[in-house]
Amino acid sequence: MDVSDAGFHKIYKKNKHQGLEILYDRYKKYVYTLAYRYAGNKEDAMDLTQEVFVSIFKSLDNFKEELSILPWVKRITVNKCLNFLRDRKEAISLNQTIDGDLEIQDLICSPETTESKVQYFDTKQALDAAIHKLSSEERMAVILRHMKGMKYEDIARTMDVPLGTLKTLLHRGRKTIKESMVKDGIWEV
Amino acid sequence: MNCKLDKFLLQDLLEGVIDPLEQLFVEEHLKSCTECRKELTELKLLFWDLNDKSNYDIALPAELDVLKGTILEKVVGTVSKSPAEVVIDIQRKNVSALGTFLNLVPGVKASNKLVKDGVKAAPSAIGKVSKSLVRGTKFLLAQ
Ligand SMILES: [Zn+2]
Repeated sequence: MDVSDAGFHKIYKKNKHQGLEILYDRYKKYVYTLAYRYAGNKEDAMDLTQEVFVSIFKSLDNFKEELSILPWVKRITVNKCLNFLRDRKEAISLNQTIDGDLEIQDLICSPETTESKVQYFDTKQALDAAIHKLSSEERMAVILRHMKGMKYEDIARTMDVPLGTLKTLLHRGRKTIKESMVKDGIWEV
Repeated sequence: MNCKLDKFLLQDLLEGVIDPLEQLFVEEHLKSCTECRKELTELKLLFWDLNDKSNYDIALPAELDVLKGTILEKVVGTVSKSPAEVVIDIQRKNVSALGTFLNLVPGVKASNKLVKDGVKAAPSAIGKVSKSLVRGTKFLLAQ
């Protein structure tokens, strides 16, 4: 069902359940694809999608009807993503102190995962890997700009950073991705 | 690596977010600097790939629809279902029980995987050829 924001609020007031279903179906693709690109795997993307929609549904009663829904959904998704990795990084460093550094060190240094052995023949895979080398803020900026095609001003507002900071994030992010793609030989003919 | 030009200006040039005066300066500079022209070519390729929406294509997992029910239940509590929905639910449970049973039969999963692998292996050669063609075309266009 395709309804305008105003139409949505009308349905939501009459039947909360139906309203939420419409909202979920309308934005699930947006939220999931962004979460997937950001987190890099299905499990985390599903967790994030759940967090985002629980948060949306819970605060919907306080949502001002005259505002549009999409920018609000974007903002919540971006916030949840940026906080998600922050939380997980803390969790990992906690485990490190408990279990000792050995296990993680082993994982990082095992011969299968050293970069020289990994060969990418596929642009999509190489781009994917390169995007994951970025810091979480750089990654989010690049995803919103290039995957979602958002304007600079909108991204800065959604991420709550000054325009100059956003430009720097994009500059650095693209530089890292370019270097990674060159190293992988993606553009050699 | 002798050129001192701020390479981020080349990104801004391609994005159209460069100051007009800087743009004139950079365009003039490009005429005489091979290093920056090479950098610009690479950046064009990068922007091509970054903006290519097919590079971000992923399948939406079926679990996404299951998740909808989970979240709704969490937020609005248990929802009364119509009789038709209840019947469908029962059927769904039966089907998934059957699936669980098949998982327990030795060999079923392995043979499924073999079939899948067989299907996947065939078109990969074609895929590789067309990918390098695309890459070649991109390179020419970026020059
Ligand atoms: Zn130069």
